[in-house]
Amino acid sequence: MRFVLLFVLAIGFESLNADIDVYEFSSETKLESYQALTRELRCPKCQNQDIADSNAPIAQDMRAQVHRLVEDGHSHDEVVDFMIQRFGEFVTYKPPVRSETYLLWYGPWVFIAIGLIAIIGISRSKRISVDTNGTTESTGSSLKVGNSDDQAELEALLKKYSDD
Amino acid sequence: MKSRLVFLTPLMLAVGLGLILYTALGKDPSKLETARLNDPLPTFSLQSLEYPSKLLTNSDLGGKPSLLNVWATWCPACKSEHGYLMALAQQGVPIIGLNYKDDRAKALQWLDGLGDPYSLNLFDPRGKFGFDLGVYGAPETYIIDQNGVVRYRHVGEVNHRVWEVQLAPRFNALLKE
Repeated sequence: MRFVLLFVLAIGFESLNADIDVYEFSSETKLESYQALTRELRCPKCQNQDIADSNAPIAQDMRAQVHRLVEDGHSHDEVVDFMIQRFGEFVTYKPPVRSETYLLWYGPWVFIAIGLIAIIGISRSKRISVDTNGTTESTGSSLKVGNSDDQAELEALLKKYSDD
Repeated sequence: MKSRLVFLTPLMLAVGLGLILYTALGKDPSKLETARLNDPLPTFSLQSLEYPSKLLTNSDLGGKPSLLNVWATWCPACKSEHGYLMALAQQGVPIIGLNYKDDRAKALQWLDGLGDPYSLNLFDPRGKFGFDLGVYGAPETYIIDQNGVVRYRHVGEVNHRVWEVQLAPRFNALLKE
């Protein structure tokens, strides 16, 4: 069996003490799983950092726990659930899709849909308002005005000046 | 009518979204939801702080509403709340102390010097029970009901204001249950 060593070197900014986590993994997949998990789990103390990135004591504890669980053969989702059970949904950067998170997951799509409907609606209503004001069906003519008398006059003028 | 709807819909959406975001404005983002809320305390078997040979478990909790205070000698806010905890203990509020990721000798020295407000002193030097409970920094104070269920958590210092506004109403309600 191949042993993989992972050295995580994290330097504490305040004390300038180097804290070094050394974890040993029994397989490459477990190392990869550990790395994915520590990037997906969020540090409860120093928010906006994942636990791989954070040197807070709680993040160190969480890394140790992730290592233990991964080595014990727990799946990715099991480890995430384990952390959510203790620290709440805040702890994952990928919140599960549930009724409380629908707004988060589907909200942007709803807004895009509303925007598209609005654009289609507005462009349609403009075309219709021209048509109902009495112009002829869309011809090749590039210029159109309100009613057929004006349209005739416009065409006459265009003809006159294009002849000059 | 139709054109009014076209203009009002985006306005209403913007106002609605604004209201949702507005409710989150005053929130302190460092205060997390309590994952263990309304769950029984995780099972533990911890040494007593004073008597290393004595193992304490969930059955030692006393079966009445109490506070569970997570503290450590390395935590400055724990020192500033200590006096208030002493006052609460004198009023007869049972407080279970969880000494979290600390050194036993230092912790005992602290209690000798500043007084011991705790009815029970749990020693969790590796923070294992704290981790199961979801502690992410000391001090934290939990309200535990008579059945050992977590009913509330306060993160940060306990002082008169916190007690009066957040803890006392919930604690007193439990006493009446």
